[in-house]
Amino acid sequence: MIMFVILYFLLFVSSYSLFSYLLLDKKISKKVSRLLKFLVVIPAYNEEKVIKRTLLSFLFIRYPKNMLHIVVVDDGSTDKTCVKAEEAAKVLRKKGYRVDILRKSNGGKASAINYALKKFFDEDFDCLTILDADSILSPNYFIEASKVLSGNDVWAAIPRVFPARRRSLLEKIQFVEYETTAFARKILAHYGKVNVCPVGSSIKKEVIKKLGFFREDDITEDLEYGLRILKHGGKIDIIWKAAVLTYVPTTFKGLIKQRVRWYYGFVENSMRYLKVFLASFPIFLTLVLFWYNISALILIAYLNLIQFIREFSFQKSIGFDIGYYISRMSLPTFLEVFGDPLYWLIALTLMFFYVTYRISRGRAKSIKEYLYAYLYVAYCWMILAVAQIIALTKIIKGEKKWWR
Amino acid sequence: MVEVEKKVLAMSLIFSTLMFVIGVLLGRSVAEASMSDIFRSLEDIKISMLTLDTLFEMQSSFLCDENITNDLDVEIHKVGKDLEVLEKSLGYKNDKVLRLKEYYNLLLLRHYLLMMKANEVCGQKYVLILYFYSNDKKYVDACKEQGKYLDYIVYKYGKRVKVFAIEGELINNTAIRAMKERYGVRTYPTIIINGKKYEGLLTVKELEKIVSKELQQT
Repeated sequence: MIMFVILYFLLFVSSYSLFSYLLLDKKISKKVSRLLKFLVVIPAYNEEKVIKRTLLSFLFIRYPKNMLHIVVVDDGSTDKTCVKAEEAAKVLRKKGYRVDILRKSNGGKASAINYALKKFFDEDFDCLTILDADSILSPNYFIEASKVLSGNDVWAAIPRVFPARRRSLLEKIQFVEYETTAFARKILAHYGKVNVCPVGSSIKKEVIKKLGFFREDDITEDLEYGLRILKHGGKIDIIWKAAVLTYVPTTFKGLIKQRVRWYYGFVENSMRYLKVFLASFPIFLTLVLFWYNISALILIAYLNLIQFIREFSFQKSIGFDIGYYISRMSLPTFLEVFGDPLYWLIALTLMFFYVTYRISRGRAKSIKEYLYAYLYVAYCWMILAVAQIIALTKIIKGEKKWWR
Repeated sequence: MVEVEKKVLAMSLIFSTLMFVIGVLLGRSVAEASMSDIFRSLEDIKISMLTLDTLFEMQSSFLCDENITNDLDVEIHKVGKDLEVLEKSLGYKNDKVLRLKEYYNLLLLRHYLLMMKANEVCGQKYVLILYFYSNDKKYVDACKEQGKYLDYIVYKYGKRVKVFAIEGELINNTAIRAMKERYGVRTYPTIIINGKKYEGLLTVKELEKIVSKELQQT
């Protein structure tokens, strides 16, 4: 019974995203009406290994140099971040870029962005672009962003985010995850309801003037700001043609830590902006999905636990007789598999997931990549739900500022 | 909400429901289609049993031939497994399923009686376990456990132990009722081992003790 409810919901979400994608207006990218001036802020905390690479990647950007102002904020790093940034800045300055490096005592990402904003807010720029110290923008980013942001109703624009590397299995699975997220954001953009300003997003200066700076006490300041824009009736659009590459965690521990931070912020903000979540169905669905994932896992784990305890006591009473299990092992009969509606539903759901995934990618890919897509489904339920549970316990316990 | 958004929502609701219904129907229809196969297997079992019955009337020595009864056991076991799948897929209260189960349980009872006679004629060879269970919500959990324990006992003691599992509550059949009355079955699980009644869940240890004692007596 529980499995049927879980599967039905999955089918519904898949078809909702598919129909949203197929039926809603697709935006045709406009021509660039006016090139915008960007203030690019890169907060960095102990990023000596990557900051140079990030800064030098601006050499590949196709955009007038005088329209970009790059600001690195060293958020009280204890390593050589500042020196490395200065080295790269020299190269960029030689090529004609304006690069500033600010130093401040440690205060978190939001405080670093605010610090740069305060310092340069009176200067002439149209948009603020937030970049992580380990992220790289695609060369067409600023042109595409200018196109999207030229619409008057658009308050902010976000690119598609992808893992920069796809070597290990964990990175490959995360790639599918980021793809799915980008697809979900595109659908939300169709409804004008993107609710987050992640790495690489650009926010108009007038919006910042109206809504204020970033909240420094929030761990997911990007989500908070996105929701704030929605609350005030603004719209965030997706820059589908541009991407930002970011380095994703390569170990399970790192991944869990990152996700706990995200989910902690998500739950906090979903309580803070509950009205925004309840006001529109697509956004409400993201909230439901969060709780769906976690409750499905808890339910399944609970049911399995009961089963496991029974099985264990039985095993104990027969003295852990392995021979018995071997004697009972056999392939399932035709009737056992095809006579059971549950297996049909699982097959249908997976097939439908495949269709949605394929359409979302737009082009045919190797079968191997679909395999990662299915691994991603398993991953969603295992790793992400575990992170969700940890985040929830932290919230229930009232732990604050635990991430520092 | 804009008109298009409503349309998307409605379409996805309809579509996902449709997929869901298709999935359930496919599973159920395969299960229903297999019913005629199961019926045919039951007919086969009936013929084998009639053969045994006739052999008994003829007082033929074939009756004590282990191979004949063992083949029958394998057939019965297979049908029992298929019926379990049907119950899971179509529901244990489904009329057609109950009808098949009635047939199956009657054949099992008949087999039990035959084996009792065989024990008398051939000298006691088998430990016969008549197991009354029920899929009724009140009893189903304990009965599932008991079924598992009995499976293990059959594995452990091999062909000399035979279990006949009869659904005692949901099937309305005079023969089954009469059998229940003979042993005074009031609750489930109830187990009759070589004529002795044990009420309630028996653990593996208890079953082992009883069965090995019975085996020693033969």
